[in-house]
Amino acid sequence: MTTIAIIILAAFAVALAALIAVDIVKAKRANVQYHLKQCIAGYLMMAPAIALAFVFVLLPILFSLGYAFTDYHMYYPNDIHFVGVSNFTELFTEISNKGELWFAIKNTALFVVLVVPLQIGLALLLALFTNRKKRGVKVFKVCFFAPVVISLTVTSFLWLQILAPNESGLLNSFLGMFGVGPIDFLRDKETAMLWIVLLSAWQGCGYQMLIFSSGLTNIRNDLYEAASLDGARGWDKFVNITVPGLKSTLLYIMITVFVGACRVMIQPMLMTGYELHTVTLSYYMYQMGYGSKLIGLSSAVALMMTIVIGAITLVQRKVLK
Amino acid sequence: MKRSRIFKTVAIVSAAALLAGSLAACGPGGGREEIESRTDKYGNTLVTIMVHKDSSTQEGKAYQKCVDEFNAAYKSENIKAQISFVAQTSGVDQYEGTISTLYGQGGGKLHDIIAFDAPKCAGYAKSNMFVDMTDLIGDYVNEFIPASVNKVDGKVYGLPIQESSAGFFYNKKLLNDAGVSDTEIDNYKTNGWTFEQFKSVCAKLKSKGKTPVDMQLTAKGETSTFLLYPLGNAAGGEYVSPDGKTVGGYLDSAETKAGFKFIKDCIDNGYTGYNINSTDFLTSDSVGMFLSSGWTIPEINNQYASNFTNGWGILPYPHAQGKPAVSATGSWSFAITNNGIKNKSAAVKLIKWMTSDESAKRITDATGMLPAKTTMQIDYAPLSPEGVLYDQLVNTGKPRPAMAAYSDFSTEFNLIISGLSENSVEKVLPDRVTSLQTKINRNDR
Repeated sequence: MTTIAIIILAAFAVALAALIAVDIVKAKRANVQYHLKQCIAGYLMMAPAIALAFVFVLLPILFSLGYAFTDYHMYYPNDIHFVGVSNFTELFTEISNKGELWFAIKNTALFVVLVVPLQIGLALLLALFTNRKKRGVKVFKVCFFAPVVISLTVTSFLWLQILAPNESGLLNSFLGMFGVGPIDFLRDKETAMLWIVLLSAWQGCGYQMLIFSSGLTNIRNDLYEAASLDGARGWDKFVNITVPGLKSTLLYIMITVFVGACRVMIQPMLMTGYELHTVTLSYYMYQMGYGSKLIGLSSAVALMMTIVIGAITLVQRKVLK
Repeated sequence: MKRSRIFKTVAIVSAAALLAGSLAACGPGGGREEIESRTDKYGNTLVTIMVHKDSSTQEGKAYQKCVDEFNAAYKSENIKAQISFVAQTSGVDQYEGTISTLYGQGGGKLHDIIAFDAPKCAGYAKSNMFVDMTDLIGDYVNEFIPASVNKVDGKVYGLPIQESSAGFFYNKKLLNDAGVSDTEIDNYKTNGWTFEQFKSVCAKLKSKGKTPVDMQLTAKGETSTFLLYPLGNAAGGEYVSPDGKTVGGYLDSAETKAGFKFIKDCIDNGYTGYNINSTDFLTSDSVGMFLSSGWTIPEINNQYASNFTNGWGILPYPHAQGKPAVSATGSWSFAITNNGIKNKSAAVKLIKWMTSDESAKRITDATGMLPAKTTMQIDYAPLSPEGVLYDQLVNTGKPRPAMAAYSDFSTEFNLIISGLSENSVEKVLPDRVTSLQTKINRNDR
């Protein structure tokens, strides 16, 4: 492991040195006044960030990429073999046999399709609401942002109490007042994922609300005033001024919420445990790595996820640009 | 130089690094270091032990005390033990990750002795992470309850720190009110009871408007597996083949199905369910019985005793008519690791010390769990809660399946129990058999 890390570090250092050399040559050819000391100082200032990025981002990604083509098992750390694409074949076989991975893909897709528009829509609504210059609005802003600060574990447990399948559950005790018997919301295959979507959107939308708020403040007020003089109503102003004004913000939020949604794991893990109707891709990957100890296969899932998420993100950018 | 060429260079170099990394990953692993023994600067032979608890817990303090006493006793032999507390604050997976990483480094980086959960033994043993202790400890193994010793293919790989059995805790008042007499209860404790007798008691409790039994169907994870696996065995079934590699014909055998059908019957008849609040048995008079482990004994004694006006007790696991009773066993154990230290004599001395009668008493006093040793003076009253559990351990205890892919078995077992909420045993089992077999094949090396 250490040897591999050193090899990658050496390759990375060579690549970095090449880039620096190219920079110097470029500067000299362009007859730009070149100060070696300043240049070194610049690279030195970048060094801590580069080192951290190397250790915590680049190295794990490269290791994971490498492991995806091996039979690495957690109990056999010194007995790793190159297995070509057999991990991927295994995964595709599982998908075609409608195994757990099939359910994980299906549930993740459902989660993404529901949570992305819901969370962004909620965030935009809240941003529009809190952006008004009225007394007490800041209190609402804090309230809407509060779930973001609370850890997902805590909010998941909070919702577990709300959705408990007996009279001790807040929602069931409320329904009981109308004569409705206890409902097991999280065991029901039809509703469990919807509750997880709701929890996630509620927990996450406060953060996007803040970004939308800052985007809204960048839209010039005179545009709204001019539109009002022209007789535009609220909806017209929203469609013709607010939405175009928020386009770049919306693109950023769509990409980040989409990527976050693809990685959902904590909520189903805490609220239902490993169940076929709520397992997600990240949860499956975690289970494969830590539960089954199959790091190689788990890395293959990670690689597949990265490729699919990356491709969809690129398409999103192209379409929305 | 154009920017695209710069990116090209970076891409080529990165690809080369990736290739190099991948190829290196396929190598033998960079040579695990092997050394004869470890010594400190004073010349003492060092022996290390890692436990899964925090040093501030009662159990952690008990381990520390045992190690201190070992050091005092072996000072003249220049052997010194060092203990590390790697609490499972991040879950058992993190603990296992730590073990794997240290093991991979060799050279004594992994502790000489580690604590591990019993059902994981086969996986560790087959990967050669644990040392076969059979010859190293000799007859010492006979001091333990046979079902508690961690054996794989007949070889000893782990010695239990303590034991943990489970049973059906009952509220005496509710059972008596439902027409189950003390004599009948004592008879079940003494002679065991069948699935039909169990259901008959449940029916009586249900007729009185009570929830008959909380089988902890939603406990999830290992708790659910630990509590419920004996029922399949008590119907005469097995879950996997003796070598732990074949599922078909075992998990879906008629006998094992009968065990799952017993659980399904209890669900369908309204005797148990998935929506029972896990504290209802302890805090209210609404649940007659509660399937739980020995750890609930101190919980009731210390916090909930006043809720049981007529008292409480533990009934053993029921079994199918004509089949022998089976009960849950298997708690945390100690194993000697293949950590790159060749001389294991100090490790053998320490593991014997940590599992001696004195240490076992100290640890079980701290945890409230049962001792796993037959040599200890046990003075539990025969029909007392501890007495019933200890009697089960000695006479009907059966470990969970010894298989390298045990974690996968536990996952699939939970999916079966979960699936029974909506489907029949016949409908749930085929997919799970296929899935578990696939996972076992992936784990087979």
